[in-house]
Amino acid sequence: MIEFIETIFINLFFLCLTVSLFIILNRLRRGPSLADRVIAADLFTALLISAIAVGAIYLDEPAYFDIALVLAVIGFLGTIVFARFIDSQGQQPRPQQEEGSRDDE
Amino acid sequence: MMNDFIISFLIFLSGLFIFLAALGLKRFPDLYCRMHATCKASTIAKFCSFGAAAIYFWNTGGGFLLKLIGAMVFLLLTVPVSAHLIARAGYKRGAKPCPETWHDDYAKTF
Repeated sequence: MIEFIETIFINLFFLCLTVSLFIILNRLRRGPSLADRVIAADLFTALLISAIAVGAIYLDEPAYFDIALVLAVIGFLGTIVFARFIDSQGQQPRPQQEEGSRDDE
Repeated sequence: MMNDFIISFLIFLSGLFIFLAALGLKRFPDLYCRMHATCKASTIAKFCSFGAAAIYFWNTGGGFLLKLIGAMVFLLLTVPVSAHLIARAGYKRGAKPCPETWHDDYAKTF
């Protein structure tokens, strides 16, 4: 019985990851601003980190955990670099974005 | 085995929090609300999966647990910093708060 519950939990984990992957890709496609896309990419990195940590458990190989650790570092650096990029883009006068932050019905 | 049950439950919690973060990313009206949803929930999801790895690889040598605790501390330090930087850059770029916002102190500095 308890193995059955464990199998259900693992399958629910992969189901949640698949559904949220599609939601994240949808937000990457139509984020109103560049910062929304950067947040979506950040959440995508978090999803990959969780999936790799679970994969290390699934394959019984503790060396795979290093991939998740390196991915955390790389994701942090990428977010910092994107923040600097958006910040330096804001120096030039640009037209304000339209109100369209309420785009999702 | 009780251990395997705890591990699988932590894995399920990790997936659930990733899903909640993605739901917030889809439904919230605003850049700042979305960031509020994703950064906290993704931190909890990473902690749950790392905790599952810590219980599973409890007897593994080679400083595995030390590496895992180091990764947790690193995540705890870096996720708020990156969220703050993205929020500030988005505000400077002109991402407006949603119309229900009634308090905006950062507008005075511009």
